[in-house]
Amino acid sequence: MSEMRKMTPVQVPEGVRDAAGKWVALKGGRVVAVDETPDRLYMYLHQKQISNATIFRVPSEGEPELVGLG
Amino acid sequence: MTVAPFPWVFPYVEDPHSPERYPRESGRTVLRPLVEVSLVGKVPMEQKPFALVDSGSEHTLAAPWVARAIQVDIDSASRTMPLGIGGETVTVSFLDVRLRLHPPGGSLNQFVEWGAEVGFVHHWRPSWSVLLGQVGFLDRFTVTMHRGAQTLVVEEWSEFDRRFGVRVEEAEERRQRFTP
Repeated sequence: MSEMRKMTPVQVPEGVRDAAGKWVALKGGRVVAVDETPDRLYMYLHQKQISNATIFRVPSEGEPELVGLG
Repeated sequence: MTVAPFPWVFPYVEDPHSPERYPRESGRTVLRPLVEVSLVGKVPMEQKPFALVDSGSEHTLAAPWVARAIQVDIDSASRTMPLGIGGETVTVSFLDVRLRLHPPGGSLNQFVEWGAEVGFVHHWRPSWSVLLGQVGFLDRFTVTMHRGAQTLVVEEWSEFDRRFGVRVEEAEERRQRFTP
């Protein structure tokens, strides 16, 4: 049996839940930008010369759990 | 820049609203097989949106903002077709682009890249921006998902044969294997 290797889970940082319904950019384990739309978020990051961020939308409060494309 | 060799082990990502979704089941979490990808059109993406690995989807699909980020015109799609999504029929525009899969914890400059037909959906609801399906992703790699281990593992396409050594009979005739 091979040795069990410990792995760090993907942490959703504090502050992400406060951005419910919005698009967020994470970098280095922290939120670097939040916006209402992905286009504006992407443009903001470009203007600030921030790259290599992870982008996703935080589900709204009460939003149904989505599967696939929902 | 050097890229870590396969296997790439991606921990599942927890839904930020997990506790509220199952209030009567303490400790239950919503976990998803998400990876980080970027697409390349006229320009490469500068960020890495989350992508859901969905073995039940025949196609690889993406949000319209991704098309705008890589400066491709959805209206110039090589093919459009109706797909049933969320109980509705929507028209999806397919374009040939390049995809990059980034290793867990890797940077934008670390990736494996391949070409694929990606369907862009005009009205996009999920919190992830790309859906990696059978064609365009699962035909390129050996992918293993394990809910107990809460991980998704991506390996070379040929790893499947090395591990299992099985071939579906139909693949010899009318469903020939796609070899990347």
